[in-house]
Amino acid sequence: MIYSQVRTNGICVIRPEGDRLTALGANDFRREASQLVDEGNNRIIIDLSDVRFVDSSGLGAIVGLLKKVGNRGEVVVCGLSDAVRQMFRVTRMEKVFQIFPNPDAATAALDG
Amino acid sequence: MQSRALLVECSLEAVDTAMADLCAFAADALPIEGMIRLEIAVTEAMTNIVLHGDLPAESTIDLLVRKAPEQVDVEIRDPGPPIPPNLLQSSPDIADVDPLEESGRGIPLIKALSDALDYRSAGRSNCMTLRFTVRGVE
Repeated sequence: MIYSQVRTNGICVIRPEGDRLTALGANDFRREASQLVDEGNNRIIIDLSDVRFVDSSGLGAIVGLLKKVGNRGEVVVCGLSDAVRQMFRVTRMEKVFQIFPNPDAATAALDG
Repeated sequence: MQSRALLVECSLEAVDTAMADLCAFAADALPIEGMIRLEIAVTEAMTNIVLHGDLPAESTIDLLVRKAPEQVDVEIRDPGPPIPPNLLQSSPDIADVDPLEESGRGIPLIKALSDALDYRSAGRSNCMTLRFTVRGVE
C-alpha cells in the first residue's frame, strides 16, 4: 500500500507503507503507483523517508514507475536511508533518478 | 564463533521476518556497510528461492548464520531443484545491468555484495554459502 498526497502545484508525493520495500510489497506498489499515473499524475516524488530497506523487486517497481511516466513528466526520489542509498549506488540508480533529502527540497526542484 | 539456525517458511512474509532476526544476530560482527551488503544479498538469495525455487509444498528453507569478529557466514539450504548450471557464473556484473531493467538484478547483487560465494547441490539439497567481511573504503 502507498500513501499519496497531491500538492497544490500538482506534484504528487507518494510514500510506500512500511519500512521495507521488497518483493512482498513491490507488486502492490507497482499497481497503486501505476493507477496514480493513469489518473493524470505525472510529476511524482517518491518519498522513501520511512523506508529502511529496498530490494531488487522494490527497485524494479520504482524503475517501472519511472518508465510509465516516461517523457510525459518526472519521477524523483527523496529521503534515502544509508541502506537504500547503497542500493541505489551499486545499481547505478543515482544516474537515473534525481535524489533529494526530503519532499520539500524535491518539490522546490520540480517547481524551479 | 557463534551461530544461529533459522527455519524459514517458503513465503515472502517469512523472508522479511527471518531477515530481521538474522540481522539482529549478526549486527555486532560487521560495520554498517557490511550489514547493508549482507541484508541485500541474503534477501535476494532467499527471495529467489521463494519465487523461483520450485520448492515442494510445505518445505522450508534452512538458514545457518555463523559470526566472528569482522566476518559473517550465511548458509542457505533448500530442497528444490538446483540452480541451472552456469547461471551463477554467467550472470552479468551488476554494473552491466541496464539501469532501466525492472528485473534481473538478484544474482548480480548477490555476487557483487558478498565477499565469497559457494554453491553446492546434491540430490534434493542445495546450499548457498555467502561470506561477508570488512571491506576497505572504496
